[in-house]
Order: sequence, then C-alpha cells, then structure tokens
Amino acid sequence: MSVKASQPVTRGSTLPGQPNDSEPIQVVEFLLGSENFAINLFDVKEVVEYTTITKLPNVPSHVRGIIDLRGEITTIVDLKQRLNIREESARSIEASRIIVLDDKIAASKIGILVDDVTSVSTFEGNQVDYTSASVNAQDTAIIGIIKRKVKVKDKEKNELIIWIDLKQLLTDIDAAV
Amino acid sequence: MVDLKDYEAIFEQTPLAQLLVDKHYKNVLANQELCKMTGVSKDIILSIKITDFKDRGILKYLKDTGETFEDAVARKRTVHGQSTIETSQGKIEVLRTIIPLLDEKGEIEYIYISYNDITRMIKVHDYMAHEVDELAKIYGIMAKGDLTPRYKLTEPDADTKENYEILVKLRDAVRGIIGSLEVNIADVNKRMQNLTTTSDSATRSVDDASKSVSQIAKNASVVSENAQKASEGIEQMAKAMQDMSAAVEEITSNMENVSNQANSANSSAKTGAALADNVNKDMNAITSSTENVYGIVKDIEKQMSDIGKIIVLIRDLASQTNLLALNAAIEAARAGEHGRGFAVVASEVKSLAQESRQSAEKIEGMITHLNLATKKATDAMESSKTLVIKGSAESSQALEAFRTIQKAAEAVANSASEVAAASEEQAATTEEITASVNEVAHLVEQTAKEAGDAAAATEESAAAIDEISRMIQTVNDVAMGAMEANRKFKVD
Repeated sequence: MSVKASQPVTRGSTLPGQPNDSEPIQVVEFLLGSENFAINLFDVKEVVEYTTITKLPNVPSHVRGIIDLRGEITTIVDLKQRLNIREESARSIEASRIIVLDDKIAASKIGILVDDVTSVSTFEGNQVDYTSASVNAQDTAIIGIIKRKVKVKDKEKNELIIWIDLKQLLTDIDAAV
Repeated sequence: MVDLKDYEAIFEQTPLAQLLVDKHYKNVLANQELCKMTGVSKDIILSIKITDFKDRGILKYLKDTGETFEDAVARKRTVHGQSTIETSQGKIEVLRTIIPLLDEKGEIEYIYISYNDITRMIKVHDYMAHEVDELAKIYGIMAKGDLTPRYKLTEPDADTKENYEILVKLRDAVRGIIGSLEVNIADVNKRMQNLTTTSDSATRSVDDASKSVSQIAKNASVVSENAQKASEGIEQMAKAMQDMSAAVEEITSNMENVSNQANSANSSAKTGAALADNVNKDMNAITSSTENVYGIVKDIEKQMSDIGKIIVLIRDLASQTNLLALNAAIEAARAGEHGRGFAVVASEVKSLAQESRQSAEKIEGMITHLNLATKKATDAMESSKTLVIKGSAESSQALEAFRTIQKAAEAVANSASEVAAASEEQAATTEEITASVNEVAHLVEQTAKEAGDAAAATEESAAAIDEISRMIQTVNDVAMGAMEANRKFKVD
C-alpha cells in the first residue's frame, strides 16, 4: 500500500460539528488486532520502535507505564486496553510500535502503543461515513468510518478504517496522568 | 531038662532085664538088670511069684497093652505086650516078651519073660514128636505166608540131646531156606515195586510221549500251514525284492541327478558368495559416501542457519527503514506543500523497505522449507545409514549363507555319491537276497513235505505208543500180581 499523492478536493454536504467532507484528510493508519484504525496526521509527532516499558503503580489499566524517549519521560497508553479491544496481536510485543503524539494535543508527553503502523494516507472527504449509529453513540471517540477501495482477487471491495478522535480519548488520560 | 544054673550066667550077661518063672509062676531066675530096672533086690524077686509083683503091689502097673502073661499061658505061645510101670525109681516103659517054655508033653515047664526098657526111646520119641509137631505148626503158618514166627526148640536133657542136635540141624536148614526166601521176597518186592514205579513212570512217560506226539502232530500241521503261509510270504518277498531292485535302480539314477544338481548349486553358491562379497564392499562404499553426504548436509544446515541470521538482520533493517520512511512521510505531510517532494521519496523508500521485508520473508520461508528438507535429508541419511549397516550385516550373512550352501551342496554331492554307491551295493545285496529267498522258498517246500512226513510218522508213533502203553499195563498187571502174591508172605 503506497501513499498516493493527494486527490483533488471535492466538496460535499457538511454535517454540523463534523469536518467538511469536501476537504481531503490526512491520517496515520495503524493496526489494533486485525482492525485498521486511523488518527489525524497532525496529532502525530513521530513513530518509534517498542522499547521496554517501566510500569507505574496505581494507574488505570490502560496506562502501561513510562519510557525514556531521548531524555524525556513519555507516558505510554495501551490503546487496545483503552478501547476495550480484547484481540491479541499475532506478532510479538517487540514488533509493536509507539506513536508519539504531538505536543499540541497533550499536556504531557504521551505515546500510544499500537500493534503496527502501516502508512500515512490521504483520503477524500466523501470516503468518510459519519452517519452510522456507532459513530453517533457517546463515548466511542469515533469520528467516522473511512472506506477504501481495495482489490481482493480481482474484485473491488471497501476496506473499513475506523477513524478515532484522540483528543476526546486523551481528556481522561491526561486526568489519569 | 534044663539046668537053670547054666542059664544063670547067660541071664547075667544079657543086657535085657529077664525073668524065668516056673509052671507055678514062681520066679526062679532073675538077672541084675531086672533088679536094676525094678529097684527090687534079686532075693525078693526070687522069693515071690510073678503075680506077686502086681498082687502084692511091689510094682504098680499103670497101663498094660498087648497080650498078657495069662494070654501066653493060655495060648502057650510067645506073646508081646507093653506096660507102664511105676517103680521105686520112677515110671518106666517096658516091652514085654513072654515065651512059654514047653516040655516034651507040651506042657508049660517054664515061662521066660524079657523086659526091654524103652522108657528112654519113648521119651526121645515123644520129644521128637512134640518138637516136630511144633515145628510143623510153625511151618504151616509159614506155608500160609507169615514167615515171621519162630519156634524155640525145647531144651534137651541127656537123652534127647542127640535128637535135639538133629532137629537143630533141620531147623537151621529150614531157617536158611526161609531166610533166603525172605531175602528173595523182599528183593522181588523191591524189584516189583521198582518195576511198578518204573511202569508208572513209563506210563507217564508214554502219556507224555503221547501228548508230545499229538503236540508234534499239531505242530506238524501248524508247520505245514506256516510253511504254506511262509511260501506265500516268500512269494511276496520275492516280488518286493523285484520292486526294490527297480526302486534301487531309480534311486541310483535319481542320485546322479541329485549329484548334478548339487554341483550346479555349489557353483551357483560360489557365484552368489562372490556377489554377496561385492555387495558387502558396495555397502561399505555406500556407508562412507553416506557419511560424506551427511557431513555436507550438516554444513548446508549450518550455512542455512547463518543465512537465517542474515535474514533477521535484513528484516530488522527493512523494519527500521520502514519506520524511517513512515516518520519521513509524517514529517513531509506536516511540512505541507514544501514537503510534498520529500513525501514521494519517503513513500518510495517505504515501498522499497516493504519489498525488502517481503523478500526477506520469502527467503525466510525458503530457508524454513530448506531447513525442513535438510532435516528430511538428514533423517533419510540416518535411516539410510542404518539401512546400509543392516544391509552390510545382511550381505555378510548372505555371504555366510552362500558359503554354508556351498558346503551343504558339497555334502549333498558327496552324500549322493555315497548313496549311489550304497544303492549299487544294495542292488547287489538285493540280488543276493532274491537268491536267498528262492533258496528259502525251496527249503520251505522241503519243510512242508517233511512236515507231512512227520505227521505220518507221528501217527505211526502214536500207534506204537498205544501198543507200548498196553504192554506197560500188562507189565504193571504182572508186577502187581507178583506183588500181590508176595504180599501173603509176611516178612520182617
């Protein structure tokens, strides 16, 4: 899956409180279990390899601990734990990645632990579905479902990517940390 | 006229007792002998009459026989008589002879009486008569058969001594005869006893002989039957001998075949042994080759493992490159329009890294596959090694087996030769046996004939034995008769 050059922006209907679907979006795609997830590219500072995590006492179960990232203490959040995803990765913990978040969205330095980071992608606004019930439900922190056309054995089919809102998730994380 | 004085001397001289009486019966002459006999003195005698002896009881006449004194007087002739007289000296027996002496006128003048004393004679006679009578009684008993009684002769006195001796002679002679007779009887009895015993045993023997003869007769008939059977048996034997002869010939020819087969088996076994030897050598070569291959495969395995390490390194590099590309893409995106060119490069780098990873993964898969194959090869090597060892052992065994076969084939060939030789010998023996069988057949015929003859002879023997039996019976009867006859003689 190669990152293509950004598609020309097409305008569509805009729902209130939602990003404009005519604007192209840029996301970082990653895996939690076997599902594809995405977050806003501008929430990401960098991606680093897994390193040994030092556990912290008396923290919520999704706070895995802390690491020393180039001299800065960085809190590691287990996103699968936070999103209540029970599915285990087929790969070893050493193969997992830490997505280090941009300083703008968090008070402290935070990294999220994911199974793998697959790509940096740009999608058209009309590729995103904001209407499904699950998206509208409270507390899910899902912005929308991105549909990507892929070819599986010469048949075109939509691959679904869950686009989540990190800011919402991080409010309680920040509180915890 | 007779002068008495002249006669007195004659009277005295005569040993007889004499008395002369005159016509008045007066005793006129008496001799000493008369005195002695009567125990009366001559004076008394001459003083009395003859009749006074009786009448006056001088002599006691116990018994008178024959003619008397009175008869002589009356008849005027010589008379004889006998008297038993009791005298003072005892009882005497006298023969009286009374002779009347007549004168010219024929009248009695004197009477001459002589007394012949026969007391002793009588006594002897009586003794003899008694003894002979007793002996006669004994001999009578003996004549009836009892030879045991004995008579002891009465002891003699002076008078009978002579006669006693005569009787003793007679008796001893008779005793001698009886002794001999006894001996003879005992002897005869003994002999007869023996004879009867012998005849009994002869009878038994004859019975036995009779039984034996009948047994012989039976046996002869059995022999005859057996000879018949034997004859049949011998015929079969002769046939069997012919068959055997044929069989022996067959064996001989078969043995030649066996010998040939054994020889070819021997040469085959030699070839087999050589082949087995080659196989053994080949097996050893295979063993060393297999070991070489094993070493090579091990080497390959090691190199695979090295390659695997390199692949891990490559994958790490690819992973890190991928990460770098991602970060580059993020940086480029954040840079906006300025980073667009860099984003393309980052994307290209990422796709290269991904390709590298895929290649590494492919190689990894191949190495895994190769490792499996190598493992299989190693296993195959191991099992072929085991098989080769087994094959080597088996080829050794095969070699040993071929050698054994070779030896066995040789032994079989030798045995076959021996058997062939033995068969030839047997053929000769069979011929000999056939000859013997024929001879035996002849003998059996002879035996049958002889058995027939024996049967005939046996019948004759049986008749003869019957005859003998009858004879023995007769002999026995005779002996029994003789013994019966002897039995009336009682002997000590």
